[in-house]
Formats: sequence, structure tokens, C-alpha cells
Amino acid sequence: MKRNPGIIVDFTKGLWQDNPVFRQLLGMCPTLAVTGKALQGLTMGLAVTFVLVSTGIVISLIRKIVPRQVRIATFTVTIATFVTLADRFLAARFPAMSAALGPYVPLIVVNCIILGRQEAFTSKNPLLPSLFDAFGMSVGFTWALVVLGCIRELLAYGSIFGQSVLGTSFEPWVVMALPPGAFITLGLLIGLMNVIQKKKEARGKE
Amino acid sequence: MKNNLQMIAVLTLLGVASGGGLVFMARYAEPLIAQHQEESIKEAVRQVLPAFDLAREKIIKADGQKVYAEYDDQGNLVGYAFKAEGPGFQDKIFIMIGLAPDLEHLAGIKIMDPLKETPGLGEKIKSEAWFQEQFRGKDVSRPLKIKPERPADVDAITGATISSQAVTRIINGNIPFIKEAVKRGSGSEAPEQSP
Repeated sequence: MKRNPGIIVDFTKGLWQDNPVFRQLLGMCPTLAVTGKALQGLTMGLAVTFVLVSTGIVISLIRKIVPRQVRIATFTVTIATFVTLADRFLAARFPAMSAALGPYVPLIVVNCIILGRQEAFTSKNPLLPSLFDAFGMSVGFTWALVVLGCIRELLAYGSIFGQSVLGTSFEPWVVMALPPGAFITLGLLIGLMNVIQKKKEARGKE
Repeated sequence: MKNNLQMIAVLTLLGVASGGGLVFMARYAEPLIAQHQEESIKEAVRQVLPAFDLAREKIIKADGQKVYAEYDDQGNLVGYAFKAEGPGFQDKIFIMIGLAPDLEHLAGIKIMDPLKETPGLGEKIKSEAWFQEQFRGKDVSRPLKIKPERPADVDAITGATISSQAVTRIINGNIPFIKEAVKRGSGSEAPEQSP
């Protein structure tokens, strides 16, 4: 890993350069599974934000007293705790959304973005950079899910965030609501990101 | 040795803190979750039984399951409701079945959450309102037939054939149970005031 050149970069790298979904291809399971509708993508993004930021704070604070041999166990217990908190809170306050997301909220436990950030960053860095890193990755993950959700919802239901956009004459593309639609949209977006990134790099060299 | 002790100490403390947090959340969340379930059942009962006001409710218990007998404010029986479940195309389908007081006609049905049928296809059994509506008033003294069976009592949805048939099958399968429960349980329990 590069040495962190500054706290701002800790935040912004998650948005684009090291975007967890489009650049690192992490967390693909929720990315593909819950983005049939934009609101579901947003909720999943916010749940991951809560878990990632809370876990980052705890791990960063206790990083000096945790022996290396048990660090993964420490990460896992911390992550599982915050995931359960998020899951129960959603079930208590937003039952419809909780039912729609089904098992994918508890499955944040195995989202490799979260374990990956603890191992790669927060367990080696003080609180403030860890916070910026966690927020950056979370926002990067969330915007990726919302964009995917908007595209799929628009084509599959003719709406965005439940608001009808294309009107009643629109013939829904059922495939976009199904798993193939998730793969197609994700593939095209990653391709688009690569093209933009290449252009950026080419401009940087000149 | 010192390292071993530190491992045990760190993991123990973390486990205690984690458990404490979870207990706190459970005490906050569990009553709310139970309340949501209660409300979703009440809401569904109100939708399948055609009355402006269900003033009184009697719960008939049979085989550990609940059949709701609903009365209006005059004390007249409005009908019976029962939350049935059965296999759909992808996962279980939950249906609130409303029966008229004569036990021979459907008052209405309501497909409940969570519905895990295929988005855009099987899911239409809920999103296309006419599908549930067409069950109102159907004679269920014999099993309902759904297209392509002939003569059909109800229409299936294009693209949701399996899910449509599952709904009919769940209804047909549970009507005898409700009848039996009502006949056996009638008057055996004191009426309960619904809040």
C-alpha cells in the first residue's frame, strides 16, 4: 500500500480511485442482489456505512492492545456485533425495507470491504485517518449501489426511487429486475469506469 | 505467557462489550418487531373482511394456529380470517384468507409480506390488484379452479402461472382446516376486546 499522503486522500480515494465496487470489485454479493430498486441500494449502502464506520472507530481505537494473532477474531466479533445492531434496528423501524432486503443485511458480516479495510487500514492507522477512510469507502460503495439501483429500476419498472418516470406506456424490461440485469449493468458500468480512468491517466502523462 | 493473557483479556472484554450492546438492542427492537407483526396481521384481517368497523375479535386456537373470528359493533359475525402459508415458486407465500360467516364463500384474500416471488413475474400476484380482488365472494364449498383448468373460477397471471396456481392451492388446502377449527372451537373461548 502507498503511504497515505493526507487525510483528504484517505477520504477521496474510496469515491473513485479505489472505489470498492467499480475498482476493487469487492462486496459483489449485495451489489448484485439488492440493486433491483434504487431505495434498496441506498438502504444497503447506509447499513454498510454504519457498520464500516463503527467498526473502523472501534478497531482503530483498540489497535494497540490487540495481539496480532487474534486480530481477525477481533475484527469479526466487532463486525458481527454492528451488523446485528443494524439488522435489528431496520427490522424494528423499517419492517418493509427489512423484509425486502431479506438475508442481505445479516450478510454484511461477510462483506469483504469491511474486513478488508480493517486489515489494510484501520488496524494500522489512528482514529482520524481511519474515520476518513471508512467514510470514503462507504460513500463510494453507496453511490455505486444507488447508481446501479437507479438504472435497473428505471428500465425494469420505469421509475426511480418509486417515482414513475417513464409513464404507463413504457414496456418494462423484466430482465433488468432479475440477476442477469444486475450483471449486465455492473459490467457496462465497470467498462465505462475503465474507459474514463484510461483517458484520465493518458491526460496525466502528457 | 504475557501475550496469551493479553489475547484472552482482549477477546473476553470485546465479547462482553458486544454481548452488552446486543442485549441493549434486543430490548429495544424485539417489542417493536412483535408489534409490527401484530399490526400487519390486523391490517390484513381488516382488508379481507368487508366491514367498516371490526369492533370485536375472538381468537380460535387450533393445532397451535389462530383463526380470527371478527364481529362488528352490533355483535354480528362479519367473518373469519386465517393466515395461511405454502410453497410458491421461489419461497413461501403468506396469504390472509377471509371467509364469510357461512364458511362457504371467500370474503377476500390478501397476499402478505414478505413475498419472495420473482421480481417482475411471480411478484405480480401482489402488484396486480385485480388478481387478489377476483377471489372476493368465490364459492369455496368445493376447491377453486384456476386457468388453464376448465371451467375456471379465477384467472392466472401471464408470466406468473406457477405463483397464481400456488395461491389457489394454498387457499384450497387451508379452507377445510379453517372450517374444522371454527366448528370445533366455536364458543369455547371468551371474546377478546381488540384495542
